Amino acid sequence: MTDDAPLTSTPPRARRRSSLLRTVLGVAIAAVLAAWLPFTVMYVTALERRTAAVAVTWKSGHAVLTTKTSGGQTIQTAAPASQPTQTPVSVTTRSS
Amino acid sequence: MTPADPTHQLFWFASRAFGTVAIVLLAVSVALGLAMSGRLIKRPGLPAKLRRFHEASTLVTLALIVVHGGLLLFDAFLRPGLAGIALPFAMSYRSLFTGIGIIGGWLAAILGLSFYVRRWIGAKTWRKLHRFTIVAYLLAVGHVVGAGTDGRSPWMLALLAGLTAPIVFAFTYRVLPAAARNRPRAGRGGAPARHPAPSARLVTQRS
Repeated sequence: MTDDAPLTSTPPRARRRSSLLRTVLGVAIAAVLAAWLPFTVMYVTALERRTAAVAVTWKSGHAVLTTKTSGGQTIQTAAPASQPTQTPVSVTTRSS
Repeated sequence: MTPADPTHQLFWFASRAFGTVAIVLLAVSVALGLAMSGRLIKRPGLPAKLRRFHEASTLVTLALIVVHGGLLLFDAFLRPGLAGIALPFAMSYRSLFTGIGIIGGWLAAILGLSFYVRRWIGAKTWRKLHRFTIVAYLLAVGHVVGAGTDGRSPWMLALLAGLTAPIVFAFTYRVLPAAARNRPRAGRGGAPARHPAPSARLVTQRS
């Protein structure tokens, strides 16, 4: 009977600490899982914006690069097929 | 100008996502603290559980703030450096509002962790310090609106309004004098309060 005593009587401070640790772990796991939602939304939104913003078409031997600015303005850049080394330099912005 | 490749912005998105969760958890922690100190929650046994959750959510919020800032170190576009994420107004990107966020983060850390040194600073000093936690929340809101890319988007403003409303309510209730909080509703035929506030009892004894 006396051997069981240490198992059943945990000091209140240690009990409080382990209970707090369990709660901290639970909240931390929930927080990491919750962060997936805004992360996915941000990533998908940025991906959609980029897909919509850049388009390449061919017109009479020219590659026409159509880009949309964040203000909605459309810019078209034509690269002649005879000048393959002149590739358009992309300027990246952080709009998302 | 074209938007940057999203795959090159993973740390940027992750930082913002953790920042969003951090402000939610900070709001929950502040609202709970105000509700407990204002004695809004009276059900037996519940305050002890809520106190534990308040402490746990504060610790996790502080960890999320560290993760939010730390992930920016790996962002190839921003490159803030350690000084940029730790010192107010040192970052070139929206320096005023990032600075406000850094001050808010430090304030939250100092006020949150002061709980563990209250034996040395004294319970009275700690309680006085702890009242400024609402300032840390307000600075965080300012940081989200001013520095966050989604700060002025409808969903973020709706989220902030939803988080701030209970805090405003609990804060107003907390600062109201006890007599005003427990005043029985006269003129409606309602019975007087079963447990009048100490101040109300005092008035009864005097008259």
